[in-house]
Amino acid sequence: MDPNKIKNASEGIAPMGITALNETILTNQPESRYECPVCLNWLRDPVITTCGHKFCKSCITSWLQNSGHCPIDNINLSMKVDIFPDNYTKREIQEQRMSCPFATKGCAVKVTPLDLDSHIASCEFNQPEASSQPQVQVPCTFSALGCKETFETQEDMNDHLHSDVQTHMSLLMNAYSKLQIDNDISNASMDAKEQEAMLLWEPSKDGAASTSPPVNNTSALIRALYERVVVLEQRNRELDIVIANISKQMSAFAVAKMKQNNDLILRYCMGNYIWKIDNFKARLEAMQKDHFKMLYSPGFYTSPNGYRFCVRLNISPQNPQCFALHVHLMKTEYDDCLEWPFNGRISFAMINQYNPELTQRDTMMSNSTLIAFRKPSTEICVRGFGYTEYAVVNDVARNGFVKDDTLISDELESPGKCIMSPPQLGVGDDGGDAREELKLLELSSSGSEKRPGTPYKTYIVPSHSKTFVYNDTDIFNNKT
Amino acid sequence: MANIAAKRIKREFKEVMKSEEVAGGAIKLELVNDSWTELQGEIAGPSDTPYEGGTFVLEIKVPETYPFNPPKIRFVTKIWHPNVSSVTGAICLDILKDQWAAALTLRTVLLSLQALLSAAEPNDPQDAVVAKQYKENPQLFHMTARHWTNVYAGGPASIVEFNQKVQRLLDMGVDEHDARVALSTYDWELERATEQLFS
Repeated sequence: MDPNKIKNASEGIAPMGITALNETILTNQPESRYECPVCLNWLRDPVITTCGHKFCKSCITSWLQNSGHCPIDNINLSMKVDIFPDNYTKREIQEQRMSCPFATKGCAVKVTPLDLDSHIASCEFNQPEASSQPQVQVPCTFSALGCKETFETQEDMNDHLHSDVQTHMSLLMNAYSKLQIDNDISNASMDAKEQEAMLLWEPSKDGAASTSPPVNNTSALIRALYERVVVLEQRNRELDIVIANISKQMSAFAVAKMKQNNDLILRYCMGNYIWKIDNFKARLEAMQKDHFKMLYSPGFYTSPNGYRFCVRLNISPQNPQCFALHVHLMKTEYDDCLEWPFNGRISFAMINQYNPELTQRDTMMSNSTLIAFRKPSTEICVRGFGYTEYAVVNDVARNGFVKDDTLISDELESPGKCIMSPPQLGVGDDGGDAREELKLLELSSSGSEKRPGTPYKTYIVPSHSKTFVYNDTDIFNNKT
Repeated sequence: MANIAAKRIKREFKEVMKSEEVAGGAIKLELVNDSWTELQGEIAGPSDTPYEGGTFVLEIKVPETYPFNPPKIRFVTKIWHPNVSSVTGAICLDILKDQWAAALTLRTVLLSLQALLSAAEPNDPQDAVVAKQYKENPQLFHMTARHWTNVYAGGPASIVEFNQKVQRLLDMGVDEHDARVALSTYDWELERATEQLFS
């Protein structure tokens, strides 16, 4: 290399701090901000694109000959308008100084990263490598056995091999006996382990699965044990799956059972349904806030395949001080087997849970001319039947009908001829924290009613204003 | 130009060797000759795909004009995939064709190929037969791909039914791979595959 050039390069050295830092980078791998993404080398004549990426000028030029896009983000680039020289980066790279990789051999040259490759190619310390090679000492081929001789040439070694056969033989002998001793030791310890393993071996009960219990050598034993582990793991996994499936079925079964129980109560209440309205206070507040809000009981049957009713409780649209209470017929799968219109007696009882004598009971007879008792054409007949002013809201809340925030309302319906047992409806509602329970309604019906006490009587509690007794109400009218 | 290609491949090779994907066993890269123009890659089949557990060997040829032109890559390991030819192993992937960018490296390409195994693109197929099966009978495609992974890439799931059908054709004197291709092509219907092989 031209000595002047070296001198020039070292004169351009950067301030101490930066140089020291850069010298720690021993390889010629650039930092990513100085690296060209195309050649992965130090940026040479760096340019920057309008999309903010730096490349060597020659790299991006070559790339854009075949493509009109940035190699990194595919943004359209034109060589003429989108590429600018990045002299800032260029200066920064030129200020970097790297030591020659032959510094350990005495080369004190420090060059810019860009010049490093050309320097290495011509570095005077790059050559001596070859000249120092002959001095390498070749160790004797028996060095592994302990022969410490080394030689400069192959001939010397051959002479040594011929002359020192005796020494090499004794080295071999030593090595061999040492090997044998080691072998015996390891064999002895192996035997103990094998015995131990054999004691632990417990052939599985079904002879077919484990065919060869007595194994005589260690590797076969280990293999057999390993196979058993695999078999057992597999079986374990299969059983886990079986258990998971069964517990899934169990929980599905429990859910189905609960649902069935609820359905059974509604279907087999024989028309005598108790509607417990829980959370009554909150529901009442909601209804008072929004008079279109109504409470519906679940649909219950007068007999297992009989008429199906539900009860509706809401704030009377005519008089916000009062509750309105109606029954609605609901569609069932056996409607065609029933006689229409429904004919029977309907009793409501609002149960006073503190003083049973104050329980409010009302009975009404069906009216065959009303739409409310005809075969329902929708899921719930839009027409209901009952009282538009059933009870005064404040009385219900105060006079012992609500206990533990639950209002209980009983409803009993009995149809005319075809169904002998009367349906009974109870309605319950559980209110806030009022600690009161209100039995709201009892609907009891005629004939074969077996419930003691209620069926044939109508109790009228005087304190409630009841202007309408029988009323054919369209539930949707309430919205107006 | 060739100088850039060799230098860059050397640097990329170092980059791949240091990458965490190599450490994690997801990809592998080996030199085939001293001139740095030919390499052999390996990618692990991604999990939750039919290729899971398989190791797929790739032939990588670096052109003189690299990185201004993409490397030429094909699957050496036979694979059942809509975007890979089941016959030649040729790959249909945009970044190996018109979407190549000089900033892509062997590492990113290998990772892209691995991603291709996870997300096939049946609307831009390399192998129309496979793509058709992928779209019309995804379950059978899945089984077939798993079977191929098992047979050719060392995958774990051996599919007994398919093995038996291949064996039936082997017993008739058909070459094993031909038998597998015919069966895979005809949705594992033995009769149609036989008909095609002997017609």
